[in-house]
Amino acid sequence: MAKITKETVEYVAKLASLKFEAKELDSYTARFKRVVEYVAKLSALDTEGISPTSHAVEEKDPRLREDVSSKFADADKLIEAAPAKSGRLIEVPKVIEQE
Amino acid sequence: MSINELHKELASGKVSAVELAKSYLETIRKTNPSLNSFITVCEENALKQAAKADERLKSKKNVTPLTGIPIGIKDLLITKGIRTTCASKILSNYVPQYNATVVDKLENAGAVILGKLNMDEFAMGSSNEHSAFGPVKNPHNEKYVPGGSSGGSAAAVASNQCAAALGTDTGGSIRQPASMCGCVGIKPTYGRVSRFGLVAFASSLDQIGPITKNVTDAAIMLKAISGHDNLDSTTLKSEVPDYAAALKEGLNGIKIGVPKEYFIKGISKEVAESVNQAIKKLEKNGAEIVDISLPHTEYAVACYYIIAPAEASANLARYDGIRYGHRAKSAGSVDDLFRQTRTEGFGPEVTLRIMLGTYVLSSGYYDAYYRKAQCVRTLIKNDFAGAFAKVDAIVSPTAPTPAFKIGEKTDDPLQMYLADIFTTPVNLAGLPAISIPCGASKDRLPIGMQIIGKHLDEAKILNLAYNYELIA
Repeated sequence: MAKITKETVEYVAKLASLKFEAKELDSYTARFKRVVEYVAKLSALDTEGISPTSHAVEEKDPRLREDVSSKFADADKLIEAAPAKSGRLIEVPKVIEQE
Repeated sequence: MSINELHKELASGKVSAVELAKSYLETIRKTNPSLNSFITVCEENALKQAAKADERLKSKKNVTPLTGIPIGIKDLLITKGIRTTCASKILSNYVPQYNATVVDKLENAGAVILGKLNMDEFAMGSSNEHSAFGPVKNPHNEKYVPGGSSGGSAAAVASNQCAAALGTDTGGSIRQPASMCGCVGIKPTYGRVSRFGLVAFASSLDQIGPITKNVTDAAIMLKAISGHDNLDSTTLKSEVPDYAAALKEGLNGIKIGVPKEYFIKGISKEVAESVNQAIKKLEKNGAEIVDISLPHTEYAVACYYIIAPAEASANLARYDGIRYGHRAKSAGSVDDLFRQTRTEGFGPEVTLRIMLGTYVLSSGYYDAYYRKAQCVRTLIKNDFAGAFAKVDAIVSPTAPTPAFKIGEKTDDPLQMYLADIFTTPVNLAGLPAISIPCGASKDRLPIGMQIIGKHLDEAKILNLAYNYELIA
């Protein structure tokens, strides 16, 4: 297993769109490390030839409904929930850089 | 009072649904400032629903066992027009525009929804201390936790703030708080209950279920919320039995397995004694007790804390402050906005789980962690399949200890995770399980017994629990 360092935590935080203050990084790394080391105990088990389970209860019949769209009763209400908007448009910071 | 007793009073006209709702709302007003089990109380809406229930009761048309019954809903289930926070700052202002299927089902049955119940943020926790709205207290002793993550649901039922409540269970979040508050709580088979409108935590594990005062009430609630739903493709098509009508006295011929791995060092002596006494009572009343082994039990918590955070990190990626919920006042780029919003919006435990999940799914680690955990999940599932070839049900403690003190386990995440040691294997295997009270500690804190069944065998575990209630 790879060693967990402050750099690991900073790298994973970037992947997860999170950030940590420099002063909390040490204590956070310790917590993170403790759990990662605990879950690594699974490596002691031999799982050669065992197939993975993703869902515990598989049903025989196909369960997918027909792929047809339907109208939501009040779409404007959904847009109203946005924290910043301009008319029916949701406002976000600029994503395309100007020349 | 139980749902059954309240239903009799309502049906006979001894009390009206409006009177009943008012009396529960009064209890909430008096006790919620100290217990903190409700995040949102919806008085106006509840009284409207109660008035409608009274019309149904008066005309004797369309009356169900839940018509007029005051119920609380865990704040992880979305409710149209009623703020749904998931006990998180990131959704503290979120008002959904539709109902979860289970909420629709309860409303159609005529239930009266009193409000939204406190919980660990996004259902991540075992003590209800990880809530952006403050911890919930155990009604049996307010220095102690109510369990979690459905701590508000269990505390509200135990303190008569509502007749019954809905909780959710990803690794024990219905059963463990039910055990710690002296309630009945059932986690149904994966796929039994629709999760449409349940804010997702770990999609291969999450289930919704009731927390109630007794087994009959759990049976009534479970029937009301179960069944296939076109809006949730993981729901099973199997017919929903009338669980309450099927409850009957008698344990003769029932084989109960007792797994040796569930009575280990580290479990409280009082818990072991209470559950062993309960097992003796079941035996005395006709059940056959069989020693069994579930050899991979000790790996379940590690397996769970790879799979659940991995799925959570994907599910919680949607909270970015763009379409709804909290948005940080950031002047930077869109990436800065995402990062700032999420850092401000998520509490420490949710942050830890997102980090763990992101790590185990990150490039180069997938096979060592996530795939490995899924293989171990197969071994755990096979353990249960082997046991169920010999027995009808499995009995164990629900939690290794009675409720612990507020603040006792918050410093070490692992200590908290091990509170779920007997409940997580059940979610990994997708099985139904119920927790029922079976005693109390010397500090008068409740102790719970867990009964685990085969897939879709809810009727059998309810019946076993019902029989224990009769002889307890």
